[in-house]
Amino acid sequence: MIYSSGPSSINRSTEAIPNRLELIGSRTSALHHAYGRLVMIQIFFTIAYLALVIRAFDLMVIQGFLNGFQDQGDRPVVTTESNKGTQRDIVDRNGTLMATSIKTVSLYADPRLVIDRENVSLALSKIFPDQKTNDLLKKLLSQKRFVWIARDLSPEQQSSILELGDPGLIFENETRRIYPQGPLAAHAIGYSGIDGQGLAGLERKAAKKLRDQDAPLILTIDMRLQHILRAEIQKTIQDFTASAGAGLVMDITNGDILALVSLPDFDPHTVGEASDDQKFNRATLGTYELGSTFKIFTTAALLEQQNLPMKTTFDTRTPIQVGRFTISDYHPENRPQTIPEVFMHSSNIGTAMMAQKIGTEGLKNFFGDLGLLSPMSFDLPETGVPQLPKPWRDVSTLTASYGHGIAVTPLHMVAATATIIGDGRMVIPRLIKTDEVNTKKGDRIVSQKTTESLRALMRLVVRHGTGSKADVPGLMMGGKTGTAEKSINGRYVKNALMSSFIGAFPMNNPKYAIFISIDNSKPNKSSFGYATAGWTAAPATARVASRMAMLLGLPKLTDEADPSDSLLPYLADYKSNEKQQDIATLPIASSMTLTNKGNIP
Amino acid sequence: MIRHVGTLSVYILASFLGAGLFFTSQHVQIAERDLAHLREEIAVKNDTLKILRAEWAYLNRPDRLEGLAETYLDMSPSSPRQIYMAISEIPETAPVVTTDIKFARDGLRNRIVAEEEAGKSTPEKSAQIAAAITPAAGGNHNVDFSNMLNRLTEKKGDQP
Repeated sequence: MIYSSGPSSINRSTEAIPNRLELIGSRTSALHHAYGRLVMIQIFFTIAYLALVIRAFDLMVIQGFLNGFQDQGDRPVVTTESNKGTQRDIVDRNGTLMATSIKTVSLYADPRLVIDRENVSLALSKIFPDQKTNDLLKKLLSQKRFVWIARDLSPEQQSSILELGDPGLIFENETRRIYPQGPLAAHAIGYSGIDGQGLAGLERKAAKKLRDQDAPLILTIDMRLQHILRAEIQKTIQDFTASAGAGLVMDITNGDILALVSLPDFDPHTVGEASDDQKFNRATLGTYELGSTFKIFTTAALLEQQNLPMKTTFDTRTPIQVGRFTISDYHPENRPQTIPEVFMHSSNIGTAMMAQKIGTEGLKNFFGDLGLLSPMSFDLPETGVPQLPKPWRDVSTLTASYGHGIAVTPLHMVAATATIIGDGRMVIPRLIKTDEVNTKKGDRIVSQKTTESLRALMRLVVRHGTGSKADVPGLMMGGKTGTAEKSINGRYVKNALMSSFIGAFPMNNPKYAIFISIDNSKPNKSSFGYATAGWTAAPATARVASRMAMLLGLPKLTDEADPSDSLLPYLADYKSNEKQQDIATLPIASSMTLTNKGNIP
Repeated sequence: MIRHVGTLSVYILASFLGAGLFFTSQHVQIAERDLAHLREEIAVKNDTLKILRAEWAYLNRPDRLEGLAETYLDMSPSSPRQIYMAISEIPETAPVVTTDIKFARDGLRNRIVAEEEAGKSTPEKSAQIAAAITPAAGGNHNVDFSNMLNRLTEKKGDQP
């Protein structure tokens, strides 16, 4: 069209101009221009369409191949911050896993989207045998948009649900707290709720420390020692048909708790089924009248404050009368006894006389310095408050001197003993391992001299006294027994015994402290009718120490001098007094009075 | 004409650049997709690793190992009497044992056979030893782990 009309008009107007060549030239040139433009447009459109074709090919074929013909929406969203919101792992001092979070899948249903409710509920009841078809159908017929079907599915269950292919069944990713060691350290680690919130133990105390971090939380616990302690306490409970037990192993040099046992315990995965008795932490929360083990502190107070020589004698022949109270010995020695003899034979009269010398203020201050009168600061939320005589009369001083009328936790006992026989400075127990090169050390409580005296005295108890069954050849064990009658409903019951043993080794430079208490032990045939600490907790401590030593590769110390050698001159006839039984109790009548006044339930 | 050639060459250049851009963008997309795949794979592998670590810790529980040792090994807990020096005093270089493990197994097998023939061993005991020396006796472990998982999934009535 342009060719016929356009150029012809140009022809007519240019005919008057003589130069034809120019005319022809301009005409051809116009044609060329037009033609050129057309070609350009053609090329442009060709390229444009080509680009479209390539893009279409890309979208339909290439992208399809790359995605494996899947709907992009179904792909799991991958975030680099996969640790957000989950609790970090807990490991023991050797890196053994104690708690971790793993991803699990849960199933819920949107009942409105479920197509065939009857068949789906029938199929689901086959996959989850513990759920009834009727209940499931009820859930699926409800008007809600969200009903839980099951949580923490196994991979098999998940794949069978995928095979059902019902659009109303929807999975949700969750994290689940796992405790691979089961009940082994249940009281130390604690447990978490279904939504990951810490409810007890470290899981609760260190909840903030546990969140949003990659590196695991390292404990001072050694899983192997934990197992040994638990197994031996368990065995003792069975042997003496006891009701419960507790135990602690501590590194005296830095306060690291290496094992913490409270029996009966529970499986942290099924904590809902555990009784309160199982969940109760006897090692750090329970307070007990621990009996004669307290004589360690009274004797230390005497030596520290009065600076008396070991040969000082106490007349233990006649029971002490204070008002209506009578303090007597279980096995009276009818002669005055030296300090080592009083300690070795666990004389209540002798220790009460020591307390008389120290005075109420002196003993209270000393107990206070050791931390026995206030709750321990510890890495667990479960820490018990000591029960003290209220008011603290002079007679309370006498009974407290041998561990009656005052109740503390096993943790108090271990920490205070470690303080006295360690290096005399306050030992602060801890459960979370810290990297501090210089471990935080507390104030000096007792002098080096008192420390050495107490080491010798505790060694003497195991060598010749009431704790002889705690001896392990080569380990230089030392310790102190304690058997207390339990007060039930405000009365001391003669046959309900709380027997305990605090041991340490090697006694010439103590490294480890072991505490074991057995609740309600009953005599058996092999113990010749005894159920006191010397027969229950002391042998258990020996077994724990022996197995510990094998595991930790402790040297055999045959050449070292026995620290108790220095005390032998003060013993009148130690050979004839071997294997004395230890029972530190008041006569029933006075105990009852004490209980009423002493405010111990 | 020269002008046209210029325009044409611009088009050609543009189309080459376009094609280049297209391929680059393809490459980037492919690389991004690979990256996402790898990240996903790492996340899955990490999760698997976590489960395997938990399983490893579960199978290495001291009480389980103790039980296995009691069943399969003729050993008893050692006592401090048996130690005459510190562990640290034992020399680093242990004596070189040249026996091939296969031969050791054969030796054990022969011993079992000999004991059985002599009527000393019971079939149960030889079965125990045989199970212990058969490599990758496995099976049991998986049962244990699925028990653990089953126990975890046993929780009933978790409806919020």
